[in-house]
Amino acid sequence: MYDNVLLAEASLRRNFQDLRFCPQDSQEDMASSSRRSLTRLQEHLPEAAYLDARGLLGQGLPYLQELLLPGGFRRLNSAGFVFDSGRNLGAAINMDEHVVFKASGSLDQAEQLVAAVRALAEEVRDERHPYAHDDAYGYLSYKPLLSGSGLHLGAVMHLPLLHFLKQARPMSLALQEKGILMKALALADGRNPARLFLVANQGSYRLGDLKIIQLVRDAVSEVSRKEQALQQKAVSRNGQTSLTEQVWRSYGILRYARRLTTTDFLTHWSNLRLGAQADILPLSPQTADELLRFANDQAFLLEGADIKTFVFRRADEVRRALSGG
Amino acid sequence: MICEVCHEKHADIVFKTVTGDQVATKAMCLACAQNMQQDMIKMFMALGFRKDQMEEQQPLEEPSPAMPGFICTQCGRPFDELNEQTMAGCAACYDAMRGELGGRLEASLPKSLRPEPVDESSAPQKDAEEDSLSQLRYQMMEAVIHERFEDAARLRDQISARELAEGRA
Repeated sequence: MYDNVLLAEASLRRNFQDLRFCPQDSQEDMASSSRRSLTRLQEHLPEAAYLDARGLLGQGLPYLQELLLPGGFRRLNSAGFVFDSGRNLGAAINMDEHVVFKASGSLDQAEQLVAAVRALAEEVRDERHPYAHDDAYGYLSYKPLLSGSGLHLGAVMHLPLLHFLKQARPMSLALQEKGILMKALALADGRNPARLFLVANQGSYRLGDLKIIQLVRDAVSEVSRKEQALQQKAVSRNGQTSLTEQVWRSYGILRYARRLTTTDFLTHWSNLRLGAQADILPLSPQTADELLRFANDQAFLLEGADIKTFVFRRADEVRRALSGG
Repeated sequence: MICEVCHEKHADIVFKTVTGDQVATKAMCLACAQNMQQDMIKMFMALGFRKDQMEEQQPLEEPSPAMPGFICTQCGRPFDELNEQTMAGCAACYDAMRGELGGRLEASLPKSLRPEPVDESSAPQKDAEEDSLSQLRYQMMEAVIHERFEDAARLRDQISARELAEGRA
């Protein structure tokens, strides 16, 4: 139903009442927050692994979920991620907030994701350490304008033509009025070669869970419609357009390249995904999405590959995946 | 020292004029110095300088260090204003923001869920103008998507004209 959506994530933000919030970066309070959350999370998610923020990328967190973490998370004190890959359930610790419970899946299952994240938060809640709450504003966030129920539903969308035709910005301005945030999921250098965007609710103040789900779904449908319309226009002209050529060229490069940097890989991946979705290539969008696991530099580095050779290893892996093993 | 121009008031300022190897000094009171400054401005304007160029050269007052709007008594975090970038240091910071935060949170709600504005003077009119501007932007985007480029260009010109009129350009 939502062809452009790669992943949906429901998250619930909480801070401890008696500790200083993360912007204060107090060593003792951050350590204390981490201890409290970890103890309870490991009790309730026995299968989950604790991934330290500094080496997080190589430790099995899917690339798209990593994109949704705050920028520069590896430098944060006592930060980490508890992740149960079987249930796609976890929590980010000391990244912006003391704890952000997360559940990921497809946007069709938004209600289940919200229910799962709320259930986890309830199980982990400790009466001795209440979360910061105010009768007027709801659960308190490190950013006062994010206070409210703390629930955020986000969809990672692949929007190559809105990005290419510079329509993402006007779209984002139009969505702001509806309480929706649309932002590029850029790399550390600010570029967005994969043309991935996050569409999520801006705030949660006085918004019920169902209202949030409805707002986000409406926004995603609207953005999808625009993207689809642009794709159809771009692809349907005479069958052979520069876009079609670009898609096939990227397919060829990914299939036969000897070395692939992250930016190269993501640029060609984006064209490949577009080709798969527009039926230009004999690939399913799911196959293209699975290739994103090769996007991380860190994953190759932590596997023991040399910094000079991991670009070759990535190309090997991608070649192998595209040629069916 | 007595002013060398009016010979009445106490001299506060001493002007030193260097011409070649000759140095001349003149002590004057504030009123006479201001008169002289006006004469000098007229002289420079006669030579082709613009007044705003000369005023740009005047030394600016030293800015006094800005005091934050409030400081949280518990964590010591200072705040100047409440906006998207403001970060609270602890739960107690919210007590100090209480006056302003409610209104800001209401304003951050989706437009359809915001309470009706009470003031019926200029604010609703401005909102309506903003609405129609974003509507125009949206229509332009639609026109581009459907390849109605003449319509898109017309809308682009309308948006530019509106923005110019509002002093945004």
